Amino acid sequence: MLTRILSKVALALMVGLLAGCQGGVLDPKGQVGIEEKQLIIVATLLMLLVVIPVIFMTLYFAWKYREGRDEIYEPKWSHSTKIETIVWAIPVVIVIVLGVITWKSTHALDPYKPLESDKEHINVQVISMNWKWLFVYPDLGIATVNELRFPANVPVAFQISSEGTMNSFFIPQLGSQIYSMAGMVTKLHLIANEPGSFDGMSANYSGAGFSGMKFKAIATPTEADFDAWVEGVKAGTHNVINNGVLDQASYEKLAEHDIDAHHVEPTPVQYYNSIASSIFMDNVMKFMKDHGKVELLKGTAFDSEMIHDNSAHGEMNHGEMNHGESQHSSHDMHTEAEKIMSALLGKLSWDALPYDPIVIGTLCVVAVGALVLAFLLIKHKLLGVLWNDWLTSVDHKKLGIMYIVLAFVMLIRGFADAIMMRLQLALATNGDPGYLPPSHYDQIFTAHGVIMIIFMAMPFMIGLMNIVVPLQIGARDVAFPFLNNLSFWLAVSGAVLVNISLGLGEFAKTGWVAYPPLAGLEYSPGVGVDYYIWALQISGIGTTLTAVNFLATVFKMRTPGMKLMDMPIFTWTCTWANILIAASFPILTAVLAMLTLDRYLDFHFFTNDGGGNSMMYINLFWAWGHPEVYILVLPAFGIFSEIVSTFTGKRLFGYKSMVWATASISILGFIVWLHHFFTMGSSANVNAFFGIMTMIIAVPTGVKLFNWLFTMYRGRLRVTVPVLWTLGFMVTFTVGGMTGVLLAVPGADYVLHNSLFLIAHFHNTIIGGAVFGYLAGFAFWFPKAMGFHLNVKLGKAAFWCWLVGFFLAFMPLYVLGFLGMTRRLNHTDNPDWNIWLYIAVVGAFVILAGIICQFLQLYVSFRDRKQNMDTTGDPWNGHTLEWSTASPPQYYNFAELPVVSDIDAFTDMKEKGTAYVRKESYAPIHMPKNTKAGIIIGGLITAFGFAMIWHIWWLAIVGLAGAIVTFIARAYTSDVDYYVQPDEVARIENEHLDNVAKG
Amino acid sequence: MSTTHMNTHDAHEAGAHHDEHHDTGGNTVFGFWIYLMTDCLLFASVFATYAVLFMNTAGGVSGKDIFELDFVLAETAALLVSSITYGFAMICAHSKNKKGTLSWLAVTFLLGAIFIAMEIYEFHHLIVNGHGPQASAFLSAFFTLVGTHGLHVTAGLIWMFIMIVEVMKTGLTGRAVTRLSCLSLFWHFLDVVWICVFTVVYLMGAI
Repeated sequence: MLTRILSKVALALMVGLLAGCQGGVLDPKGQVGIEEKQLIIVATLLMLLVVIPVIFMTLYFAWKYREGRDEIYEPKWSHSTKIETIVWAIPVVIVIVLGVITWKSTHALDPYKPLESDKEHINVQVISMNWKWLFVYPDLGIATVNELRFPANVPVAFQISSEGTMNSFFIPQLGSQIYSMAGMVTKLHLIANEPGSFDGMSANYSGAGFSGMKFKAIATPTEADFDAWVEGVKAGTHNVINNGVLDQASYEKLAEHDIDAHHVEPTPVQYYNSIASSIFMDNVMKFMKDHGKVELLKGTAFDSEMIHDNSAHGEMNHGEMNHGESQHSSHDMHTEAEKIMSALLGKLSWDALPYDPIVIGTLCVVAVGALVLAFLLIKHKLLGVLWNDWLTSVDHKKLGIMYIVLAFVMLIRGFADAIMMRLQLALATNGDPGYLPPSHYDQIFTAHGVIMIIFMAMPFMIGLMNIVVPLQIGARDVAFPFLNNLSFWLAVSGAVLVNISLGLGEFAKTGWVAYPPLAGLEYSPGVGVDYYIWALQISGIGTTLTAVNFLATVFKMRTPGMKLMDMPIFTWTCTWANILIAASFPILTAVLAMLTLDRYLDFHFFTNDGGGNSMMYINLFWAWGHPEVYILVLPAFGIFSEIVSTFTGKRLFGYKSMVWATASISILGFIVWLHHFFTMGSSANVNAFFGIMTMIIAVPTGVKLFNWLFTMYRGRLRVTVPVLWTLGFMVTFTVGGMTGVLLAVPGADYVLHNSLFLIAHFHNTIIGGAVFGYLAGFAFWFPKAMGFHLNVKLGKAAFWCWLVGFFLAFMPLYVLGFLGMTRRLNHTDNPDWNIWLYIAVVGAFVILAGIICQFLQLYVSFRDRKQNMDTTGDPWNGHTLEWSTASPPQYYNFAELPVVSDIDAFTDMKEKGTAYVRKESYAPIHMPKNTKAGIIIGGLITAFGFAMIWHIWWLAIVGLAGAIVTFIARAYTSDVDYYVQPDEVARIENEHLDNVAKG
Repeated sequence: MSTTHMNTHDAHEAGAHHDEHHDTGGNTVFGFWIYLMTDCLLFASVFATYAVLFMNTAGGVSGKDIFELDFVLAETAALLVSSITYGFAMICAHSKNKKGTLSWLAVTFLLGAIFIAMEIYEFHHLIVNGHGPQASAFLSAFFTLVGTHGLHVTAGLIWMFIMIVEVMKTGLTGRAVTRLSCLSLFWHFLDVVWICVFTVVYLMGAI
């Protein structure tokens, strides 16, 4: 009863907020949609029971326990069984309630379950084509394109399949969506409770014409109206093409499309009144039926003919289309010269150069920037320093700094993509095509996702880990310093390949997940997907090596006395992230290798024909992809823990809870991957299981939030820039967590999957969680790594711009998701969406201001570095061992390995007075020497990747063999280490201790 | 940050200072273990794919039609025996018996090479008979799974060749023994993987 009243109140609120906005999933016109809307409301209210108190407590505690207040101060208070039981119990109870609701609703709303009605249902067979919808009424003997009609109050039973790429059949106002997949039949049952015309669409991006892949679903007032319409179609009075005949030949003609079209006109409504009755199953079975060897060969020949035809039509985009051309050009190749060119350059030709003024402009700016940088380096005679002290360095601290430089460079690229997308969507409303054609726009959103996750967030995280983890555990370096350098260069190699794609050829137009069959050779014949594959593959292998390296480091090289449960919390979270990397990145390596084999050697892992199974790709991809998000966010949680504890001057509350919460998130993170595709026709039991597993992750995450809150409790919070990021995170992430749990309810996901609600959700957690965390860590450890402080004013300005910008840019996307807007649209035609798209673009520019502040901050702080030196090495009164070194730390980190007996080892030393003790003498320190091998291998592997992308086989062999030989040669170099002599150690240590004494 | 390099050799010869980071052999073997676990997951992914796709023969041959168990049994025997001979090589290495180590490594190398030669023969035989990896999802997965293992064994052979050269030239130094230990882990690991391949692909496929 209470929930019913509450849901009515919330409903009124939501309706008020969305006044005038009709047509979305919160304005349902069918039974299924109505139940799903109620489910969304009930689940949201349940979660608000935790979310609202947490947000309130965050702000209240930050204010109440701020520095300078005369409250009770308990710096040692770090454990309370009573509180910890409560903080585990509250989320557990809520998740249990939600779990029961989820289990019941998932079964009730199972798309495969026929709807209860006293009326006989209507059968409709749906086939998605590039880029149109074919609806076959097998019992009525008619078929339609892009128009679906049925009487109101009569249930409709859909059988859904696809002619090519995957799409998702979705009518937001009627409820659930379901995927269409070639060779497979999915089922869906819907009903309209009242007559009307509803927007239908594909919710899964499927290529150039995706945005126009819309249809009208019209519910007629009475069955008589519907019958009259059927009679009209049968009579063939209007919208008739091909004399109304739908046989296999006209079916194939209808399915024709230009995969690389610049602009695709939506297909007009068409009617057929003479249909082959088995047309639907024939075209499902054709992908499953026996393929003899001969037939397969024919199929391949047919494919290349198709490509040939396309190019003959002259509609192909010459700047981007290469594969098809070189494939058929082998037929017409006459001259020896051409043969030699093809052997030397593979598919590479003048056509690969850009033609788009935006791209050319960008390249010019980059070229000018590179020249200026080179000029400055030469002018200040810094090339030698760059090479000797940085590029060839095996020092984990310098590698960490270089990783973060890489992350910032790629942030610029990824953010440029973001702002171009937001501008396009703000301009391309009401049917306007905007300024980016699909052929360009589709590359941009793919590149944005890949860059931000793989080449911005990952390097940022690994950079911070590199700088901090060895210092926190009292080690002099990582276990394998050369390997660490190599990992970095492999990451750079991937980033270089992504950036080359801007100037030569194209990037993938598949979305960052690159689902086949869209990412297969048939639908993506260009080099774009190959750039994607090799960039991810190479950097992914580097990441795996990093994880191996850091796991060996933390398990084998902790300073004497440091037990596992004494490790600082950031090290713990990084360790779990590394376990996740080691366990999930090999899956990515494998799945990319299989996609490579499909594309290069005509294997049939994920193809529509030959028995391939594209679902397998999706399963494997997310078996990596879901742990990946925890890889990104767990270290950020560690950073917040360090910051809250340091700036409240307290021990972290519930250290053990934190470690175990991290562990459970890591393990659960591996058994939730299916929640990325609840809408692909899994059974209700399977969906409910994965949904509930996903919700359970909210429990340890909730525990973490409470533990941060209780760390603040009775502390003395100094509101510095890192603390601002932390508070901003706690508020923002709580919202993102809530929407994540909502998406984990399959019944809600059926209408929110692939919508902008999803986009808002994962940006909410990745920006509000991971990126805020890295920027907090950046501000926190910057003085440690660089030896001088960051400008505070600009740091605060950057924070506020990011925070405000984030809410402006992404809260509207939640609304748009409810209004039925799906992701990856190139242009829109719904006036209700416009205002929200405009607000979002304003938000993007506010974030831009934040990024500019961030870079200005770096410039100003560097300029004024002499006045802002951190001479003590302990600028924040830190708790852990990294603060016991100088800033920047001595290159050998520790003159003598510290012996520790406390989690907050450095606090312990300071209390005992053993923190800054002058030693009489020092032992020599064994150190690894810098090496050129890493950067050489990185270069050779880049050449290998580039050669593979363009089919330049000789260069691929040279690159790979060269890399292997270099690696072996390095393995047999004996001049790899040296000793730092005691007098040198004494000189450096005394200098530091003098500085400490002065400070 | 100055990184003035000291003369390394003096310090090495001084030798008395064995700090915690000098003896990194243990770290290397441990790190290699972790690497093997990542490799294990790579194989697990390919195995999972094989398990999903092995019935998708697209109307072509299935395992029953193409597997020749006698042949594969001989191949398997070569690899399993090579694991034992590698074990003997390691026993010799630990007792600083250079000649024994080299001889057993040579035997192991030979057995590994026989395994690879037989595998190449099998692949070639299948391809010329029209059962190449392009023919069906089953064959794609089969070639990939068996081929991934084969590539690993080939890498192991190259590594073993290099180790033979190293031991011949510099003897059984600490570094060489550490590397031999890693190769040992690698070689036995590939054996275990092969036992799974043999069981899941060949034996279960032939039923």
